[in-house]
Amino acid sequence: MAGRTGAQRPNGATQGKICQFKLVLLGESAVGKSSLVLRFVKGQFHEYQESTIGAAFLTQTVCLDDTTVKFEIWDTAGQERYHSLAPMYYRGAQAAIVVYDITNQDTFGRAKNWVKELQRQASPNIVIALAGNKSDLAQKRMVEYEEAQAYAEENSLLFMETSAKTAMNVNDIFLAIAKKLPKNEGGGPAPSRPGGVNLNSQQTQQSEGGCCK
Amino acid sequence: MWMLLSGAEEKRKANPRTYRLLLDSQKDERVVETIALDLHRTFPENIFFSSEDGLQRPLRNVLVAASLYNPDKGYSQGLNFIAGLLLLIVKDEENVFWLMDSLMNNILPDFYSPGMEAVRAEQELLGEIIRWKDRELHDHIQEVGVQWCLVGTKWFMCLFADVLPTETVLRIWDCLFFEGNKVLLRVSTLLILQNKERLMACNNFQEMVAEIQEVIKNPKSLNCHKLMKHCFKKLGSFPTTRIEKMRQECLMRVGEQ
Repeated sequence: MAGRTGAQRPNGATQGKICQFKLVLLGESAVGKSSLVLRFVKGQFHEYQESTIGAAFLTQTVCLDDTTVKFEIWDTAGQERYHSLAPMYYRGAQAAIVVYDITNQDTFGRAKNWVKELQRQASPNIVIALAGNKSDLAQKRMVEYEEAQAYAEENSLLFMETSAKTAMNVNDIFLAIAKKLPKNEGGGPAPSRPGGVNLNSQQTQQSEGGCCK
Repeated sequence: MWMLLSGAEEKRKANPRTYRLLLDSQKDERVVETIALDLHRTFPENIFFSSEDGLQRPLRNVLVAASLYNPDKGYSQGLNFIAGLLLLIVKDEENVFWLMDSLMNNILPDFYSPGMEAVRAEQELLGEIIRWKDRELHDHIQEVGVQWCLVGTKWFMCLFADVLPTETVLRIWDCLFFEGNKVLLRVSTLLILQNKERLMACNNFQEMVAEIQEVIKNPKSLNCHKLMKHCFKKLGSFPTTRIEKMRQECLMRVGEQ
């Protein structure tokens, strides 16, 4: 697993804070969710990326000024029937990237449905980013940049057109999310933990509104 | 061999025109499109699947025919890897179609129904079996907050195709066609149990999820002969009646959720 060794340092030896956030990727089949993650985590791109079955879990760390942000990423399967599994992955997520393919109008419609579902059912403070992927195929474009941008503004989403193939805006969209996530301690109701503070407990990760350690 | 063991041979003989008729019949364009999206994404690094002249056309035929023949199931991602590996081994696409049919309708639980309840139940069942075989490990996995629904979706949906090395998958499929679906649970259980030490060392959710993803890459999991031997010798008995009863309870639980 890439990035698993990055952020954990002994207590007291850290410069600044370490924050850990759960992020989920959602969107129609074959829009490039796994490719975006592969580019972000490993810097690679495969022209034909295997279909994701179920979901894959990866981590990657980014540095923001004095804060280290560690993303725990759930890359989900896009086919409609896997929709019933999605709540398991977005439950407790602090961030989501909803992906569509700029060359396919249907995938944009599906992205809007994902946004609606997240707004209704995910954590209330979830940071949602909309990614119009495959921007390298602009000659086949079916979704106008302005249309998606207007929709994103209406719904207070971060928005970028990305290309996992050329790497355009891939790191940027994760960085933009990292910037927008609350990094103040006690950003949400702290769950009670018996026997002192367990810095690595799952409860910490599931707490609302970020989890700086 | 698989054709005889699974009853696929009999089905083909009893329905000699079915496959051709399915291929010639009216198709649901949406399903065909969904399948088309996966043709390039099934074993993309395998030379037989990297171009349309190779196995991509037979793959599309088999998947489209199977979706038409099973309208209640349709097309489910995961079937592409199963059909793909069957095509590589069996080659004759009509035989592959009937083997798929035996898997989908006779051998496996209802993994490919749109609601995916049977897969989720199988994951719960895996958890129950781990609880039965190794309580300490089961409880530790639960304590760090990893639910069974996060474990092994692809193992079950793909019958380990594209998960374990091909040699191992073929051995597993021999058992699958010969003695039924319990072998999937045996292999899944073994993958978890034989990595106990590493899993017990995981103290948080993210370490545990990452480590469970890695159990398939452990050298112990890669030795085909040992893996199969341990599946049957080390794990002890998996009595069918007990497993079936547990499976029904898991199905009920998933249905209630």
